[in-house]
Amino acid sequence: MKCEEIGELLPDYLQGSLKAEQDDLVEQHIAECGDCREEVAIWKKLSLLPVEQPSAGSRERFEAMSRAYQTGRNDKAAGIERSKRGSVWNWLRSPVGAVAWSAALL
Amino acid sequence: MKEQERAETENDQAMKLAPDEDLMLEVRNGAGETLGVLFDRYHAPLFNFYAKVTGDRTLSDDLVQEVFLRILKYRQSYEPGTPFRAWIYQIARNARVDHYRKTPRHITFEPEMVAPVMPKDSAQQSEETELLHRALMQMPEEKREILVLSRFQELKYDEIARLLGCELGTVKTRIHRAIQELRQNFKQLERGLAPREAGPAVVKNIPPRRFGNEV
Repeated sequence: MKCEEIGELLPDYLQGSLKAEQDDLVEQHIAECGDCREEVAIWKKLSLLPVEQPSAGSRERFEAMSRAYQTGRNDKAAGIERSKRGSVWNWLRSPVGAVAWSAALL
Repeated sequence: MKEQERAETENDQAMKLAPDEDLMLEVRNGAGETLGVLFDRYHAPLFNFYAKVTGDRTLSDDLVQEVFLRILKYRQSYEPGTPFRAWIYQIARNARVDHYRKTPRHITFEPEMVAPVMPKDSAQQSEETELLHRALMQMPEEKREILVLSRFQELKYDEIARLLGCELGTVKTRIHRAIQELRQNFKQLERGLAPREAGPAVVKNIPPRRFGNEV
């Protein structure tokens, strides 16, 4: 197999998710090829980099954001409701509304 | 009262075991509080993804919050059956791209993010880790991202292909080229030389957005 083909198998090889025969092919190749051995080494070194951890207040910040988002939605919904009520009231006070209202009373 | 408490505990347990996709459907149907479970599952891996790709911890914290805000805002766009992991990483990429559109970057390397020296490490290993971190940060962001997705987020080739909107073969080639560049950078740093493509990654290196359900 060519180095490029081996290179494409390396991420799966390192995760241990290759089939046995592919695994053997990779191991045979890297035993003989210095370039691919170096490539495996650099992949393995990548695992030495520490996993970065989020700041301690991350969860609280998320909860505050969710609450603010929900409150914003509720306020918006209440605003639409108020504006609907307002528009019905305004219509009843308009001349056309007044006629309709009078007719309904009669 | 005790029965109610027991029922709540059972419900919490069930939520903790539920697949991501089921939880996201609940969020989509209005159960915003369920998003907390998904936050607990994904915020640390997402932070690690952002921190490794951007090299900026403060920005990474902000972007993680932005991802979850977008999930709330655009929850209706989540289509049942879509793998949640692919969906959230797509949102994460878009959030980062949008951020750089608004705020072009100038510096990529945060000294505080140099790998900490652990007491159990040998001096040589610590030095190697630091050099590797520098070699990674000297790569264009596009290449760094594909390595981080493959090695740290453990996404499969086909998942990365869907995420980046390209062919499987292209992903394989790009990962191979990226690891070779990292190897070159690392070797040059080891020899005390400036890498070939040294310098901060700039906004032009961020790939364009390409995906069906863009949010």
